[in-house]
Amino acid sequence: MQNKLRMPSKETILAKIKTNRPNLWPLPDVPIFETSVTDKKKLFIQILERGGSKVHCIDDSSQIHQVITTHFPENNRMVSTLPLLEGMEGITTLHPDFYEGTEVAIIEGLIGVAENGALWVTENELGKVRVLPFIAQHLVMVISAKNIVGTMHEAYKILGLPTTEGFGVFIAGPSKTADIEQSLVIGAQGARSLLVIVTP
Amino acid sequence: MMPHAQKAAIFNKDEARTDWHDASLWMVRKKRDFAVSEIPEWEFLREFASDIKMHTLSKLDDYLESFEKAAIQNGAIVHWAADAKEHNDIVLSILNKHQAKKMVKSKSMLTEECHLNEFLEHHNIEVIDSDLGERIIQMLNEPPSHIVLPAIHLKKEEIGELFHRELHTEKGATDPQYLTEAARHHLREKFHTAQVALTGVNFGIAETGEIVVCTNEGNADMGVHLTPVQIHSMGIEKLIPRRSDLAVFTRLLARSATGQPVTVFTSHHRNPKPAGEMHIILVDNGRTEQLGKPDFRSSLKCIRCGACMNTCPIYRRSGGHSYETTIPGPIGSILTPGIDLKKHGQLPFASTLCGSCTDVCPVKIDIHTQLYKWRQIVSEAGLPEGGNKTMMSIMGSGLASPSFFHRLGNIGRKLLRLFPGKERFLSFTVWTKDRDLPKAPVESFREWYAKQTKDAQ
Amino acid sequence: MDQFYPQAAIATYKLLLKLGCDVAYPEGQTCCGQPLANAGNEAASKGSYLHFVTMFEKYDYIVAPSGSCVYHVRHHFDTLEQTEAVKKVRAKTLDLTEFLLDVLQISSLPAKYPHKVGLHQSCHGLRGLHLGTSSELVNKPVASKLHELLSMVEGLTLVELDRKDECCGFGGTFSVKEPDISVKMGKDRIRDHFSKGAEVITAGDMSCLMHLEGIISRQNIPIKVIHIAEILNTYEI
Repeated sequence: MQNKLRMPSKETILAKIKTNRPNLWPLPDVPIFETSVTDKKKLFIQILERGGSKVHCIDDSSQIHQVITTHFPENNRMVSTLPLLEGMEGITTLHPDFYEGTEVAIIEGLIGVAENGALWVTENELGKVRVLPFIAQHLVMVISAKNIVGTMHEAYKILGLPTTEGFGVFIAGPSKTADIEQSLVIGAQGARSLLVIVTP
Repeated sequence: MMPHAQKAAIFNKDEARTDWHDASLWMVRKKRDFAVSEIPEWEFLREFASDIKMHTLSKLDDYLESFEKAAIQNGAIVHWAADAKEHNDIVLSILNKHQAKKMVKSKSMLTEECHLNEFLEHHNIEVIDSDLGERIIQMLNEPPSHIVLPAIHLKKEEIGELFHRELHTEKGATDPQYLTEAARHHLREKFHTAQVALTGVNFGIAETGEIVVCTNEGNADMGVHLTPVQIHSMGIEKLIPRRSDLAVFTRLLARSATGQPVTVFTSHHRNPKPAGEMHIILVDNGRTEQLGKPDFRSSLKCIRCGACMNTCPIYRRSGGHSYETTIPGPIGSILTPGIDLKKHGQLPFASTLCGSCTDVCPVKIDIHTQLYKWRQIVSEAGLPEGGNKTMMSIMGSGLASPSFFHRLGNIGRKLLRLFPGKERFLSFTVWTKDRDLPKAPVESFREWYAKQTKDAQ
Repeated sequence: MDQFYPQAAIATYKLLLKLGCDVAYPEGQTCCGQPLANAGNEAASKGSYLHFVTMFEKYDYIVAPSGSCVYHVRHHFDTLEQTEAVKKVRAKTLDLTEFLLDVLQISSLPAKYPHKVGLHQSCHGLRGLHLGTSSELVNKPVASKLHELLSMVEGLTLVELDRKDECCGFGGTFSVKEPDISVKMGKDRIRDHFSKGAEVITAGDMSCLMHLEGIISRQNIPIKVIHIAEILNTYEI
């Protein structure tokens, strides 16, 4: 009987690292860089629009439905994980393929980052349907201006360590590509458009 | 002539195309410059990123173990692969376990390095590269020419022709919007019918066991969230210690790569979906070897942004394929000689050591210094690019000897006065094929100076 | 420079004399060793390094009208045993422009050069010696020693280039190892200067200028090259 005594790769790799690694290099304390811009909401909107997103500011959450039906007048399939929206589907199943054909997905962003227009959302805000913001043809994200911070440093500080969410994503615009002769095409594999609704 | 130079000669035969390739990549460099101008603390971020990576490398074994522990606790399955073969075998075993015959793959230079696609296809697995640029070159059966912009060397006419053949788009159609739309429909079907999805990893977070994947197209997420089994292939050097460190790296990565303030999607994957499986494959494949080289270990800081390629005047005028490595350009030229000195030892010489790459590198790898140092090793090893060691030794002694040096110089100058460089018959030499030699003056500086000091006496 | 471009060395010598320096040219000098070292043969250059140190150790400053040589001495002589002499020579070897601005601290020159000039920022000087801010370092204040000196010259207009600091393509042995790219890079630089109306291209490194001149001459482009020392020396006391 052949008994190949081969050290598992984990052990060989770790052993090689121990032998080859350099002396301890100190881990720096990274400060929370903030943006010098005072109007973070304005910068957030500017960067989002520059990246091809549309932004709509409202005074009250009750206007959300109105804004959506204005931007998407056709009565197409809309899936929302926000409460209080009529005429829309909620999350009824966790089978991701079911959501193919979603014209508009409406979700809530937890944090907005002014320097790059990114919005953070976890699977909890997606009703555990992780594919939702990608599979929909169009994406709407609702964010409160109170939750807009200046930089990624501030955002990660607020996020801290994950607790229950097994998936989270920063979304900073509609999907895009410039793979064909560096020509920017908005709408690659994911959503063709991003509409950000900013509430107070 | 060394292989890179030969390929570059062919590339440069089409001067208009070379200019187009050069201008496209210079444009990306300019976009990077603009993005950097919006971040006054940019140089601090580079320094922090460099330090975080160096720290991680100095404790890589500890961090890998923490990462594995956290990932397992999250419900992920962690594999360790010593080399490319083992990585590929692991991927195949996962596919076989699930009787999967179709896999979608988002961009992963690591899997290119491991030649995963070829291997899986050999085992009758259909692999679909879901990044548009990668899909294009997959259909053409070519390797990527740039690590971020895989199809940068192709014109839209060529892509139009390809899509007409493969995707039945209209003949002669070249509009990027139209072509991308065709690819969107084509790939959507693949996302829904694939049984397994594989992604690369931009950053692995040691403290949380998370995998972070940065994309613009959303293809990685479409793949991963629609299949029950997800695999993430990660080079061991992609680890960073803390979640908060992502702030530094996400601020540097896209700005350096394409000039965007951030990639459209920055996905954090921590655990498998219900009834799903999440696999993480930790891959060495030469990285621990590089770690042991004091002069070159810092090349492992690389976050694969491609900025060095965009800024390199040689890369722009020769294209990624001329390097014949998975990772081309300046960073490729310091990573690959360690893997195969004989084959890749020529690459450090495909550079003027201008230093632009070092200046744009977001993690401050001293690329041009490492190119210089690799040259010393190549010479020491007696490889052809390093020149003939005996000749060099003789030259060296000559250059140190005033009498030899002056005599040699005088002979050279006198010869040039007899045979000026404009003579066509001299065009057989490498210099004079496209350039004239300098005009030879009547007297050298030394002769002039000697006269001055003599007159003064 | 000794053999093929003595005029640049003569200009340097005369300029330093005019500015009141006590200048000597050690006639036994050879080469800083850069060409061999860059070609991968540092070991073979050690002899030149040591000879350099011997030739120059007794001087207060060692001035070279060549950023790449100065870079090599300051950075790559670290492979020598760091004796007092070696340390001194490394610290005191300066590019001409550094010497003029940082040591002599000149703020004016009665030089006259009424021409449209293109400034080529040689890579070793720019990114190696920080004679200027490279364009990659976007947020650092823009400065350039060569620019500063040229602005002291009466009648001189600097043209605005598309690519302020792209490499000329010489790179020592690169020029013969990768001739096609080398020539292409040189052509592109010349086109940038010429299309902006430059009559003359100047730089602090003769090697860049020699390479560009080779192409200019072969292609009969009506543009000249001149070392910056020659421009700065266009006056008599």
